[in-house]
Amino acid sequence: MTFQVYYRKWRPQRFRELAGQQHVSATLQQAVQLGRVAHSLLFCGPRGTGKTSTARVLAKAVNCLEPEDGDPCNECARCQAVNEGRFMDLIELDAASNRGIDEIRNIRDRVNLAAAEGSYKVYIIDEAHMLTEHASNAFLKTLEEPPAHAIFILCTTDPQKILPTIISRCQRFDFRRLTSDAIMERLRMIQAEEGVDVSTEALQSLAHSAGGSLRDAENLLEQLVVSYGSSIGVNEVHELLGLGQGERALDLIRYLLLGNTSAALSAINRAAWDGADLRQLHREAVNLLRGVLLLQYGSRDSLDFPQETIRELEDVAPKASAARVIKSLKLLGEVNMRHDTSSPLHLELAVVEACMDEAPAEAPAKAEAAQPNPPRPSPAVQPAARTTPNQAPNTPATGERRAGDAGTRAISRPSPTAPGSQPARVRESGNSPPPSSEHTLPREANGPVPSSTPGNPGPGDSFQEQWGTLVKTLSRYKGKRFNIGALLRDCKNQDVEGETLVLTFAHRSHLERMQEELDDPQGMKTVNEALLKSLGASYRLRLSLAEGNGGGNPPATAQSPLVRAALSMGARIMEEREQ
Amino acid sequence: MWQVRGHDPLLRQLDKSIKEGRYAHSYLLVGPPQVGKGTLAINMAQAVNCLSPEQAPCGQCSQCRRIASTQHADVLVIGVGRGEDDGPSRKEIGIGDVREIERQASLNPYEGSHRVFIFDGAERMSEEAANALLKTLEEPPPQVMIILLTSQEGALLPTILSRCRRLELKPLPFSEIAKELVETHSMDREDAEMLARLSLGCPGWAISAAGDPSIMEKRKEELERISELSVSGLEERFSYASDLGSLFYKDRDGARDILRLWLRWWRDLLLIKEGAEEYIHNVDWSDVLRLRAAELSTAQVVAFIKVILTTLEALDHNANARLALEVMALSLPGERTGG
Repeated sequence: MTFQVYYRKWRPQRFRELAGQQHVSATLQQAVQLGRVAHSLLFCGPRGTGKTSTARVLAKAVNCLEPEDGDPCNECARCQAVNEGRFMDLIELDAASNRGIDEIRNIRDRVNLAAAEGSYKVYIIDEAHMLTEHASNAFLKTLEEPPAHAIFILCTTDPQKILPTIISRCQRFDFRRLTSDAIMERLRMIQAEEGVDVSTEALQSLAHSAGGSLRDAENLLEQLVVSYGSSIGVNEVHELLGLGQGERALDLIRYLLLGNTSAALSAINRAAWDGADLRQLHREAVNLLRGVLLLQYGSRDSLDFPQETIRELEDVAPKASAARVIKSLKLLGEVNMRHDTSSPLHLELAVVEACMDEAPAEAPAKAEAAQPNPPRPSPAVQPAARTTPNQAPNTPATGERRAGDAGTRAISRPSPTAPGSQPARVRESGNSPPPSSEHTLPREANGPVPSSTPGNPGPGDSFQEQWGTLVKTLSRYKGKRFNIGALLRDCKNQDVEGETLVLTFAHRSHLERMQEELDDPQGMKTVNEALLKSLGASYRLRLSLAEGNGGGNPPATAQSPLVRAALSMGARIMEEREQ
Repeated sequence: MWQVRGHDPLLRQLDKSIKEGRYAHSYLLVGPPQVGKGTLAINMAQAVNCLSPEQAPCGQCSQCRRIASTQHADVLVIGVGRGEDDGPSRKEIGIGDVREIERQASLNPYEGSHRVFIFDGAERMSEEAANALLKTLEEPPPQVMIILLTSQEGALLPTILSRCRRLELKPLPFSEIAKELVETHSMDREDAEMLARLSLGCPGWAISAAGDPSIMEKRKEELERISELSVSGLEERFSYASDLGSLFYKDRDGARDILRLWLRWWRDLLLIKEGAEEYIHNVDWSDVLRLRAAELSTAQVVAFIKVILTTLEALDHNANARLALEVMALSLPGERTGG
C-alpha cells in the first residue's frame, strides 16, 4: 500500500517540525546537543499530541551521524533506516499487547547487548499504562540503571495508571493539547504540500473541533479532501461535522423555556427525522441555554455568539424564570448522548422533565420551607420560658419517667392517614399529657446557670459549635450499650424550644438507643453534665423522629418494591427492624 | 456494485478513494444497528480485494463471491456473537482476539490482495483489547485494513477514535426504505410504509421483516406482553422477568432488543402524554397506547423510562440479570394486585 493516511505521511521527522510542543522539543534538542539525554523518559499527554513522533525523532537524533543542532539530519544511513522502520537499535514495543512480565524479562535480558549499528539502543514503550503491575515492577531495576547505551522512552495517555516508582525513575515530559493556532499552522502546511485549497475559516472550524489533537485534525482534513475534492470551504466542514444547527437549537430552547413541551418535542423529532446530528443539537442547545443564563445575570459581554443569535436570546431571556433556565440547563447538561446517539429519547426525557417542574417541585420546596429549624434559640423567648423550671405542669418527675417501662417508651407511629406535610414528627403521645420521653434535667446542678440563661449560647459562639463540643465530649463516654456521642452524631436536628432541647433523629433505631441510654441513670447524669458544660445551661430533652425516615412508618416501608410485592401477594408485616 | 442502500455521498467518497488507491488503513463505521454497517464492511473488503478493480466490488469475481459467502481466508469478522447454543453468551472481545489479529496481520494475505479485519460491535472490546489494538490500528502492516463497526461511538476509547477514518451511516429517510420495499419485495404501499417507519430508518431490519413474517409476529407478541404487564399482577411480572433474565443469559442482544422495545413503548406513552403523538414509533398500536397513557401521569412515565434505562445500564455492567429485571417489573406503574 503506497498510499498512507495523512497522520502517518506527515508524521514529524525532526524536532522543529513538532507542532505546539516547544517546551518538550527544545529541551530534548538541547539535551541531544549536550549529549545529556536521560536514560529513561516518560512522555505523557492526550491523544494526537506527538508522543510517539517525538520518541522516534529522539531515537533518530541520538543515533544520527550528522545532527544539526541536535536535530536529526534525516539523510544519513541511520536516519533513513529509522524512517523506513528497519533500524535495528530502535525497538518499539506495544506495551498494551505485550504487557506481561515475560516481555519485560525479554527486554531485561537483551538490553545488555551492545547496540548493533547505532550508538544507542532506544526502546520506545508505547501505551505504557497497560503494563501489568508485575511487569512494571520487574522493569524497575532496569529502568533505574540501564547500561550506558540504552535509552527507554515510555509513552502513555494515562500517566495516573503508571506506578509511582516507574514515574520517579523517569524524566517526565507532559505534552499539551495543541492550540487551535498550532493545529491550523500544521494543517496549512499539509494542505499546501498536498495541493488542496481549504479556506481559512474552514481550517479554523476544523482546528476548533479537533479538540487539541493533531491526529484528529489531520484525519478530518483528509476526510474532507476525500469527500469534497481539493477545494474546501466552511460549508463542507459544517456538513462533515454536523455543525450549524443554530436555528434548530434556538427553536428548541425557546419552546423549552416557554414550557411548550409538545413543540419542543416536535423540534427534536423533526431534527431526528431530517438526519441531523442530535449530539450536536444537544451541545448547541446547552450552549444557548448558557447564553440565556448569562444574559439574565447581565453578563452580555462574555457571550460568544453571532449578533443575531444574541438578539434572539435577549428576546427569550426575560420571558423565562432564572430557576427554569438553571433547571433546564442542569437536566440537559446531564444528558449523556455517548451511547445511544441516534435515539432522541434522552433529549426528550430531559425536555419533558424540565417542563414538568411545577407539580413535583412543590413538595420539596414545601418541606424546605417548613423546616426553618433555627440553630439557636431566639433570645426573646428564651428568658421568659426559662423562668418556669421544674415545676412546669407537664414535666413529670424524673423518677417517674425512668420508671416508665417499654410501653411508655413506645414510639408513637405516625398514623398512616396523617398528612405528610409535617417535617419532623415530634414524638408526643396524644393521650397522655406528659410527653413520655421528656427528661428534666436538674436545674440546681450548677451555679452559672442563671447568669447564662438569656441567650444561653454565648455571644459569638454558635449553637452548632456548642453542639459540636457536646458531641465530642460525649463521644468519650461509652453508655450502657452504645456510645452516646456516636448516637448524637446521627441526630439530624437540634431545636431549642424554650427550655426543651428537641433532638430529631433520622432513624428510629437511633432514637430508641438514645432513649435506652437516657433511661439509664448513669447515662442520664453524664448527658446532663455534658449539656451543662457545653451549652452552659440545662435542658429538658425530648427525642423526636424525622418524617419519612422512620422505617417504622408503614407507607415508607411499603415504598420498597419487594415489600409491596410481598404485601400484595398476601403477606403481612409482622415485625420491622432497622439494620 | 455497492449493496448498501442509501448513503450515496458516503459511497461515492469510498468508491473514489478505493479506485484511486487513497483509502485509509483503518475505518470506523458508526450507525444504529441494522443500518447497513456490516454490509458496507463486507463490500469494502470485496472492493479492495476485487479482481476487476474498475467495477469494484463487482460481486461476480471469485474473490467477491468468496468474501460474500464468508469463505475468504483473508477476511475475518470478529464479534461477540451468540456463543454456544447452551452456554452463556460471550460478553466482550478480549485481548486474546486482538493478539490473534495481530499475529494474522503480520502474515501476507493468503488468497486475496488484502487482509481485512472487521470488528463487529467494537464497543464490546475490553479495555485491554482496545489498548492492545492501538498500535496495530495506527500503523498496520501494508495490505491490512481494519474496519471497526459500532453503534455506540461514545463507548470507544478516544485514542481508538482518533486513529480511524470515521464514516457515519445515518438512518435513511422512511420514504426511501418504503420505496425500496415496494420495488424489491413487491409489498403494498401501506405495509411498506409501516415497516419503514418501524425500522427507524434501518433498512436491514425492514428488509428482513419484509422477508420474514415471524419478525413482525414476534414483535406483536412482545408488545402484547408489554402492554398486558402494565395491568397484570405480580406473578406474571415475576415470571416475565425470569423469562427475560434467562434469555439474557443465552442471548444478550436478543434481550436487549426486547428492552429497547420497552423503551420505545414507554417513549410513545411519553409523547402521547406530552402532545407529540405524530412522532410515536409504534403507530399500529396507537389506540392501546392512548388508553394506557390516559391511566398514567407524565411523572410516572418519566420515572419508568429512567428505570428501563437504569436496567439497561445495569445489564451492561454485569448486574444479576434476573434481579435487575425483577426490580424493573416491580417498578412498573399501574395495577398490580390482580395476580
